[in-house]
Amino acid sequence: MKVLLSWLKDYCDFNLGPEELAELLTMAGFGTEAIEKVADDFRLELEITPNRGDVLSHIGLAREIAAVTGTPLKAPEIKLQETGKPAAEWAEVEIIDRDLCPRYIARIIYDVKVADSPGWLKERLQALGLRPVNNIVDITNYVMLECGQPLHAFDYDKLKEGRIAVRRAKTKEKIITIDGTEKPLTGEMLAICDARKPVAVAGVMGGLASEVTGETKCVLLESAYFNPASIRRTSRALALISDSSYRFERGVDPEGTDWASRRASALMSEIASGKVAPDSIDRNYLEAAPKSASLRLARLCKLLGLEIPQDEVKGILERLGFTITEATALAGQAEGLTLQVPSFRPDIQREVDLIEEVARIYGFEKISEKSRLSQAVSHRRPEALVADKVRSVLLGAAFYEVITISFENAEALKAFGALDQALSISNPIDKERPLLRTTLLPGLLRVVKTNEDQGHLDLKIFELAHTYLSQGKVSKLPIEKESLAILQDGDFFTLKGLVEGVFEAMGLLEDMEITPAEIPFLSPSHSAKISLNDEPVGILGIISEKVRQLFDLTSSPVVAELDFTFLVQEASLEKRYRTLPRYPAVRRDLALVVDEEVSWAGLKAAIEEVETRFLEEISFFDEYRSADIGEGKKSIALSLLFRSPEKTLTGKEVDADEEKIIKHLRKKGFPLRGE
Amino acid sequence: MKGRLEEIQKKAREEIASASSWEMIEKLRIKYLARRGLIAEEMARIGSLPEDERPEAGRLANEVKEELSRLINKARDEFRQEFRQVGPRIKGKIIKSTDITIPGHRAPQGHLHPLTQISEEIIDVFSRLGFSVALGPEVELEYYNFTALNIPRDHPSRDPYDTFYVSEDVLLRSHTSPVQIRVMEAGPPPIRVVIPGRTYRPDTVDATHHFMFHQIEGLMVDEEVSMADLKTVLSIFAREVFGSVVKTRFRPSFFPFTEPSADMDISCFLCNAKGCSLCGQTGWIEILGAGMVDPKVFEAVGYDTEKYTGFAFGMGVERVAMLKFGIDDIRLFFENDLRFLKQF
Repeated sequence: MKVLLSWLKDYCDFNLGPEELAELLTMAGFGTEAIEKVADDFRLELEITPNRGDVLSHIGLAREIAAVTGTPLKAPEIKLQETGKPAAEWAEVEIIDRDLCPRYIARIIYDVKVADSPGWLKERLQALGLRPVNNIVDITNYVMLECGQPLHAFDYDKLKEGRIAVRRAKTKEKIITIDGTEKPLTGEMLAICDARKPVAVAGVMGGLASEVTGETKCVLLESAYFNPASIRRTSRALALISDSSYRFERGVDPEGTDWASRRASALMSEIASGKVAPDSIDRNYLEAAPKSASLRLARLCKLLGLEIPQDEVKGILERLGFTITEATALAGQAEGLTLQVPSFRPDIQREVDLIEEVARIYGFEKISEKSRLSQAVSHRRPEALVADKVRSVLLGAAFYEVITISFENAEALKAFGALDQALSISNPIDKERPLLRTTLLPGLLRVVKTNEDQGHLDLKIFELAHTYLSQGKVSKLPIEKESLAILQDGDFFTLKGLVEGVFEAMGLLEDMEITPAEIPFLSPSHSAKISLNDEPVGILGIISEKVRQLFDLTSSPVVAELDFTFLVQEASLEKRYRTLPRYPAVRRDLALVVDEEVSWAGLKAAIEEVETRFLEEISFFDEYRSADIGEGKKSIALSLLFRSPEKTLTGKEVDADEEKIIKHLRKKGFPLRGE
Repeated sequence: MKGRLEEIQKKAREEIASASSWEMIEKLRIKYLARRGLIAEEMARIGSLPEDERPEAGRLANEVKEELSRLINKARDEFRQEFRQVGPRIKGKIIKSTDITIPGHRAPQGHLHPLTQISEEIIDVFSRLGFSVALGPEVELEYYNFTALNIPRDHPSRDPYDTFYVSEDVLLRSHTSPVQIRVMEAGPPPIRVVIPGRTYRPDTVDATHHFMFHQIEGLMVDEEVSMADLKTVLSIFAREVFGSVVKTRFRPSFFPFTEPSADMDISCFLCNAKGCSLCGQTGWIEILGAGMVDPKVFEAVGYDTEKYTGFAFGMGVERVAMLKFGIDDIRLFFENDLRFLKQF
């Protein structure tokens, strides 16, 4: 909201320059966004929080300044002279929907000479970004900026039968507003109507047909109180925000309606030489129930952690417009205050609201930091420890962590076979990505693309973040599964090794298995599923050609994605020492010839079937193909490690085990190379 | 001859002891022990000695030869390591010495994302003050995101919280505050939690705004919690994260779920609070919002509003990261250009 320094001074004699005023207002809760020199005046742009409708005017803000500085507030004098037949003989006002409009005041100003406003009036409006129209309209805007009550002037002669009916619009009704556009109305919206049709969207914008022009001779001046929620809904529904609707939404002073009406009428009489008809038409259905609230001084001090003298508390509240109706004491100590809440403070209802008022005026800076804080022990979640461990494994392998956007498009998810449980955003900001992702992989591929475009290849990246899986009818909220996705622009077995390292760090390596599987987005030659105790927990493989093209990459990276939420539950970081072996191991290397289809896992399993005495470890070390081995066959080289916990083994003891193994393998069709 | 041998021995010992490189030892070996070296020369002269002097001379020559051999081998062993590292050689002669100013071989390093690093730093500070981490869903119910936090429909207090909707009452959380409600519903006070998480608002993307961002929320509820506790905890946080010199300022503000509400600023670390472009000439930078938990929120979770008081706060992780690291464009966090990530 914009205000002028000189205008504020009309209502309060404070002696502050613009910067000092800005500082004062900031520390009272109204931040200054800009200070600009305008002619020999200053314009301040302030940030007003939504709970303070009462300061959306110069008088409202001056009241705050008066409360902080202690200088009194001066309300402008209204010299209203009324003449001729009373307003009731000119017009009729009926409020049909009193829940949306509990008070409507109409005044008649006749014989007006509509013309340009005087210079001082135009200057003030222009300095605050308003465009002067004519003296009548300008006065309504001026008074609104002065006291916060929005007003509207109708050309009386354009109101059919001189009638005003305040009612909900009928579904088919329309109105052309003063901005020249036609607005369709609904039964939810409050309209100001004449005998026949809507002449204004109540509290939001006036109609073009009844606006005050150079030809207007007689003005019907509206000053009303509209239900804030209703104005807000209507304003949003019509996508129409005005200075009026902005103020009505935040709640105007229900007891300020008449003052504004008289003030504007007096100005119209003075500036536009109008004559004011005696006695306004005031339809008032507001319950004159003064609101009260009470405050316990002990509670105030306890909540703030600050002792404030009772006199200070009283002084602050009185200067803000509260009236102390009762001050209770207990054993000679001040205990509490009961106050009447001024009508312009709809935001004050409870004790905490009063405490905030006292605190902000007294000054938050007066609350001192404590030298001691109560102690508490924080707990580290086991999942966080596992995540830290896994991250350190990935960092150790020189991987970079990335963070990507949670939104996806259908095409990308479909390519990953992950469209089914995707949730849709009904108001997406990027219409190209209206879904919540169910896998992290497309995001990682986009990171590859971004970096490839910069000439960076050989990426090593990972992301640990949520994916969202709709639960359909089971629950309104999706399952939010934490997923770990790893990508390397490089060798399959290197990434496989890293995945094994991750499982080892989680203490899950022994229960994990990686087996070939058909996965639509992975290349058939390198496509695997990862299982933990036979439960599927992830995938590993090289991106398929189709997906590579879809994301326009120059190469096909290797990816892995794991259900981290599940793994973290199963993980164990516990370590137990195993005694170091006392006796040396004996190593025997074998090279076996097997059919192409035979896997290392199968071969290893075959060896494990043999009952040996001393076999400790079986390690793969090479795969070999050549003409002399034969077509459709390959040689696998492995090493066997033998050890006894009780003694150093003799060659013969090892031979025995080795023979058993070789014999068994031969029986299974895996002869030694060269046999 | 004996005299000459002794002289050779003495000189050789000196020269070997003062040799400082493989080269020099090699030269000495050749000088003394080679086929045409000084010892050999002397030994050749034994033949021209009288017969009875020959055994003694021979023995002495061998002694000297063995000693020098031993000394030279020992020296060679010491220089063996150096030998390995010295540059290429032809016939024992070094072609060039090692230029140690050539850059070292850097092993590649992994990097955590800067937002993760800042989050961890912030959580660590609060953890030291006894705050445990609590988490909540990103896809939330309207109830937790608004209603329970005293943010009614059709009220201007909802304006800053435009949201993404999945269905009528399911949305993407616009702040991490809903988790406060979930934590309080899960059990009675004392509560001391810090809540990191991803949040969403339909903001147009520019250098300082994004529709997806991260926040860290905090909540402390107990029997005697006051605004002094709020100021103390948050000032400690500010000094730990932004430096011990930094000052804090609490300005009155408004949040529907706190009363009183405040915004906390830190003194501008760039211009030392004198005024510059970073702090908009004010000398202060806004860091977070905070306040005493509004009794309406306690009512929603069934806490006794007379017995318990508490404070809450919330900050944007991207904002803190941009201030600490001097990053000028929020979009960089989600583009994941390696040249950006590598810097942290």
